[in-house]
Amino acid sequence: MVPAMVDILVVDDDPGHARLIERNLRRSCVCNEIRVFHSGMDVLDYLFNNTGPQTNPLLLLLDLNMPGMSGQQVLARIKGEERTRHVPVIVLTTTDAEPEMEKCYELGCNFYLTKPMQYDDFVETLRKLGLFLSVVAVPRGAVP
Amino acid sequence: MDARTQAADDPLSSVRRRLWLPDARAAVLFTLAVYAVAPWPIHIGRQFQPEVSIWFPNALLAAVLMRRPLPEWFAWCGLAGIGTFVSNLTHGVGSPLSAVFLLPNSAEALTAAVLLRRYYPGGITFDRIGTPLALIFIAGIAAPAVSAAIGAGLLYTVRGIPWTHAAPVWFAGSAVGQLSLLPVALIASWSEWRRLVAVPARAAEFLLWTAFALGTTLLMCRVPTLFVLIGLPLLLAALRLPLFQSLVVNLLNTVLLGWLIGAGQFPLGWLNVGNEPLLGYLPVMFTIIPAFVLGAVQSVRDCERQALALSDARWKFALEGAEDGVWDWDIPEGSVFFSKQWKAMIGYAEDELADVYESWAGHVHPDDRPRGLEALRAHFEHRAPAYTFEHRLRCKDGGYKWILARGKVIEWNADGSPRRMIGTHTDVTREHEAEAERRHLYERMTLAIKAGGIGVFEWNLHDHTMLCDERMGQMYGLRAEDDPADPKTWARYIHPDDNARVKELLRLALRGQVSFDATYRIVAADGSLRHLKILGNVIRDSDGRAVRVVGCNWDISDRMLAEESLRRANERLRHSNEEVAQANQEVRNFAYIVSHDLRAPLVNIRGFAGELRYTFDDIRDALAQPDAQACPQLSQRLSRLIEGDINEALDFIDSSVGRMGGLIEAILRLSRLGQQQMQEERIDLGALTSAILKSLHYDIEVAQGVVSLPTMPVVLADRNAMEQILGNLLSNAVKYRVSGRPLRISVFAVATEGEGLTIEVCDNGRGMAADDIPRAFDLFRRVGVQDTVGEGMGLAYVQTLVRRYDGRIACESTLGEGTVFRVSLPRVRPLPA
Repeated sequence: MVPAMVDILVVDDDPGHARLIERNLRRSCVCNEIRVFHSGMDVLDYLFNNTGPQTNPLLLLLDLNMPGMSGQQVLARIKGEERTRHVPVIVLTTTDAEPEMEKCYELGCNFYLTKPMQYDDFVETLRKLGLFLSVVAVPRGAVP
Repeated sequence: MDARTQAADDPLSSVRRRLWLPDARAAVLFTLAVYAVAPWPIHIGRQFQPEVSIWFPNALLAAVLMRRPLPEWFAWCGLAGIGTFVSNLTHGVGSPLSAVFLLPNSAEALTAAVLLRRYYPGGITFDRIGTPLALIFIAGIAAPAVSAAIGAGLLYTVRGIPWTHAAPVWFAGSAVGQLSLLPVALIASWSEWRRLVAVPARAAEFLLWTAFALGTTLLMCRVPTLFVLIGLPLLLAALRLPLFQSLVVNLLNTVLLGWLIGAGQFPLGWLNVGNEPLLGYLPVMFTIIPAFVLGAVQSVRDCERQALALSDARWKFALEGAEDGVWDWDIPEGSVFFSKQWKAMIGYAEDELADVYESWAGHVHPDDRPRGLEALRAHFEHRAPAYTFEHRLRCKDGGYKWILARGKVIEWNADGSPRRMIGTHTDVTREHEAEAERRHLYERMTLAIKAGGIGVFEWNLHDHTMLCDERMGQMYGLRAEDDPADPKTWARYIHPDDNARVKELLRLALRGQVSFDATYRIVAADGSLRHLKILGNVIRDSDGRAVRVVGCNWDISDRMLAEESLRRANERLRHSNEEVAQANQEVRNFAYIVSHDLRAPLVNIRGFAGELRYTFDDIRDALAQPDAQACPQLSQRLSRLIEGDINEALDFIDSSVGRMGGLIEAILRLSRLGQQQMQEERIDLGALTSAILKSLHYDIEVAQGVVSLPTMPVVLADRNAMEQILGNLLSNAVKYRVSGRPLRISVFAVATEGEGLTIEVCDNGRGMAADDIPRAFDLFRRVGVQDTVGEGMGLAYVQTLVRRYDGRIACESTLGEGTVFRVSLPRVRPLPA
């Protein structure tokens, strides 16, 4: 079980994808707060300009190919800021090109997952991700 | 085969041909002449026949033997005998004794021959100075003496004539006989005669002395007391004239004397000899005495000549060493020493040319002769310090050689006339040919300059003047008022934009930093723009200062135009290349978009189709609830719809999305294969092929397949590419087999350093129609009957990889029989196994 206090932020420009991710995670019994953002700007805005009370640590599921601000830019920004660099970021994208992957790790991403083309595999991946998220410990510093 | 080699075969033959004929002719002519003109020997002969009458053949015999003491001797001996006989018969005094007289005459001739050979072991020619003298000495004294002794003995024993009487008689006969040798020798000496008449002044002097000598003799007929002076004119003539000429004077004098005696005009009575036979001895005396004197003079001269020759030997040798011919001209004598090299230069052997002036003069080209004589005259008259004359000299083979003659008079006579001149001959034929070649080259160059429209200029940097040819003026379109000698005139025409550049280049060229080579534009006088090329050579003085610029200038406007259009064509080509590259990039981007952006919606379609299934599962569960059974018809209908139509629709969506995903995957792979970095490594193609066949093992077994795999090479290549190429070709061969027919596949590969790697995969599968072969390489294209699984991308992958290697793939196929794929990869290099 993912500790209840961790909020999961899903960043994906494709609302369908975001929804599928959310549903599949839920199906693997992830019951944390899941927030969906459809652009990099939105999530950064949330992270840095959040005016509301924010106490729970965060975990980011980040897509790379997004219009406007790309996932890598978002990643760089998050890992470049002292406030947010402890926030775990899992890149979840369709791109399986080696250079892309390397670049993301260089920028500080914690995991890199590929969305498999076959839907069953995709579901399986998300199920495993759910299981993984249920055991992962997130530092308290992951609070922006 | 020239004359010299022929002479080498038989050293005598050429000499014989050259000398024998004049000798024989001379002898015959002389004999006839004497018979015709001399009444005096007949007069003598009347008193002493037949003894004296043998002197003619005797003379002939001796003359010939002197020259040819060889087998001819016998022939001439016989002829002499016949001559004697005829002579006697002619005068009606035939005598058997004539034959007997042959013996002493032959002995005389033999003696002469033996003596001659002793003194002249190498043979003797009449051309040589001193030879007539030798004949007189040897044949005239020694031989007649022997002959007289034998003849007198014979007369004494056969006719009973007293010894004391017989000796002078015979001696007289022999003496007259030998006297006749003199004219024979003289006649044989053609070159001496030629020389006698060649110089008019000399001929005049000769005639003067002849007249003096003969006049004195004639005078003696009237004033006998002058008899003691008879030798005086002859001696004077001998001292004054060349040897040969003085001998001729002697001869003529003796002939006159003999004729006078024979004609009874000579007053012999007062001599009181009392015995006529002695009269015959008289003219001989007059000949032999001066001959002795001459001999003495000659021997002194010979000694001098020898001493001179020794001192000359060194410089002659030095000059000969330099391949120059040497000549040494005794001008009054007319004799010239020509060195071996001198003669060899024009193709003659040493003994083939007489050492006389005419040997040279006769070979000079007629056109050059007047110049030569003028050059000699100029030097003789002290107008020229030395004699230099370049002329053509005829060679033995009839061709001409250019000879540079140089010489100088080294001895002058007291009267200021030249006495001795020495000089050299240098063969300058090659220089003349080179000169002709140079002239020829110049003509060609002129022609080339003219044909090429090249203008030539010479710029004098001292006085800043230009020397330009006509073409320069035409090119710049010079106006009438322009001064072509002023360099500024030309500079004015240079295009303002190019002016500074050309000036800078010229400045650097004058400083020796660059060669003056520039292309610039001019605005010609008619306003037209022309492109010119200039090429200049800076000429420097010994201090390295530039003194002149010589160069040429030509119009390259046409070329520039052509270059410009070429440049534009290149530009267009580059542009379209860029477009192609851009298009390629776009295609790659497209592949990327296809793989990524098209994937996303597919995930959604598939994902939500899955979600729908979950939803329908929930609906199905709901329908199974007891409260749903309230309306069993509706719930049954819904269940049917869910199980039937909806399920079917979702299945179609799934399979279509699956297929679409596969296609996108394939395109992505293709685009990656086209971009992947090749990593060359050592690959054992045999092992690689075996591994691939192993993965196909199941299918091959099913098809009862046999794969023939001979030894494969080891190469340096990218493993992935090789795997893909071989794998696709082999799996195609297995995939497109004819069911029911045992599969036969043969793989063949060869790698060479030059040709690279060639792989052939041959199967007995279903094959392809000729029209289908090109389509087999298309994306997603599968030809023929579609009964196997696959995306139809295999050959497209292979082709992409082969292209990466700059290689080629070819396919030969016959429908129903089989297919051969041949891949050639020229860049793949073989490695030792």
